Amino acid sequence: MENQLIALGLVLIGAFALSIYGMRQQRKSKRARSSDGQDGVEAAARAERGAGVVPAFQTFTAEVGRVAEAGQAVHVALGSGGLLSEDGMVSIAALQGLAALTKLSAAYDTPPYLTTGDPTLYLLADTQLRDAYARLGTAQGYRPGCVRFSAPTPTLYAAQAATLTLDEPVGTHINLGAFDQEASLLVDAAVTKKAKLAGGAVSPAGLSALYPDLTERQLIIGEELFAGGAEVTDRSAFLASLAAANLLRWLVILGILVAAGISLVGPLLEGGG
Amino acid sequence: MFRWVIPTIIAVVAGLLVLLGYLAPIPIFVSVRIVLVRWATVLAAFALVLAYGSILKVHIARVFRRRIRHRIASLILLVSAVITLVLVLLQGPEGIWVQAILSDILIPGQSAVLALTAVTLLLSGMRLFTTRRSPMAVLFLATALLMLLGTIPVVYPRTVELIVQLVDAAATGGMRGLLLGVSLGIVITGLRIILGIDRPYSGG
Repeated sequence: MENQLIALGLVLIGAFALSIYGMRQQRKSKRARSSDGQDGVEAAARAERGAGVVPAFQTFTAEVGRVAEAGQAVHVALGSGGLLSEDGMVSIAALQGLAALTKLSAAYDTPPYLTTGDPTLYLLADTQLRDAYARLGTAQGYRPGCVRFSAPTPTLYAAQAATLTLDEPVGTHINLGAFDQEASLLVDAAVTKKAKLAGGAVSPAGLSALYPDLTERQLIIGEELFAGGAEVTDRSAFLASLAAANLLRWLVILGILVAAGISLVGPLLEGGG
Repeated sequence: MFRWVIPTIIAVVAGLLVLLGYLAPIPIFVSVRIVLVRWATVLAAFALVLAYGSILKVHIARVFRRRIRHRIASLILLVSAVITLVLVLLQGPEGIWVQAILSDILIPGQSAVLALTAVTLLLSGMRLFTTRRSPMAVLFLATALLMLLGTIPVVYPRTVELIVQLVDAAATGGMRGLLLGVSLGIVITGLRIILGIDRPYSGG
């Protein structure tokens, strides 16, 4: 009951902060647009958050051009985080971080292979790639076979997706989403194929599987994954959510310090009394 | 209108009701949450049908494509997917043959693949210093080795035991910090969807 109320309080503060920061960000964008044009908006937004905080997101789009020139493709493994599971939001954040990649891939008509280990995530990934083509007015060019549901359990999914990396002409392999140690199967396949690697995970087990083979510039660690939308799209809502997350983080830190202080001082006061 | 207004209204209302069902201790919200989550599960079952179709489509294309590796594996996958579906339709998920497939093929196979991750993790550990030559890489390896040492049921000298406990405490603290940050990210991403700012279901 007490925990539920604390969570409700955090959610309400988060919603309030998101609305306030969102409105502020939109005002800033409008002001910048009226004075500098579209480039000015992007420059202002980038300056606001400090561009290239998570460089891995910027490398995704560069990889699209590189593999297109080499006649290869990008394989994005989205993991097994379905919408009905606790990893649903992780998968959605991963897809938002891939927005620029899917857009550019559609423009070059070199669609990436998107593999998922959950049926609901499969539908979302399919919608995102299909939509990227539709926005360019080339919906008929979309190839549904590029988005694949591999298997319904994380281990079998990783094994199946790893065979895709080995069998298809994959030049870059990106692991982004909800993974545990099964990510090492995917990384191993990419290393065997000599494909370039990038990506990230939120669980300690998934990160420990990625850490040895990915450099600092290629790896997205934990909460950085949720900054993907802001890194690749410059939408004011994403920038506002970064600010709201920062505010919540400080509140949690404050809460931890207060709780630690009370548990430290409380027994001393009781003993003294 | 049908492309995003109606889906957004449905998503926002359903999201708010489910959230209240979890966080507000009022019985009516709890009952509504249970009903909505049940509906979502039924919808997810339809997603599974589409995903099953995707598997069939991809592997049928692979079987008939020339000059492709592992065509036989795709054929085996297709045959087993169809046989399993037929058995489930005939016997239900609790049927003898369906349970036999689950306990004698799927679970052992999955365990075998999971065991393989131990080998791939070891291999990637051996590659660590080719990717990263930094003090952090040394720290990563030392922590991993100490944690492994800690899992072996041997009586260590007091100093080693103390070091293992210290590293264990530091690693646990780091993991909790990571998970806290991720939880906040999850809350904010969820809020964006509930407030209708993000619409992943309609590509926006």
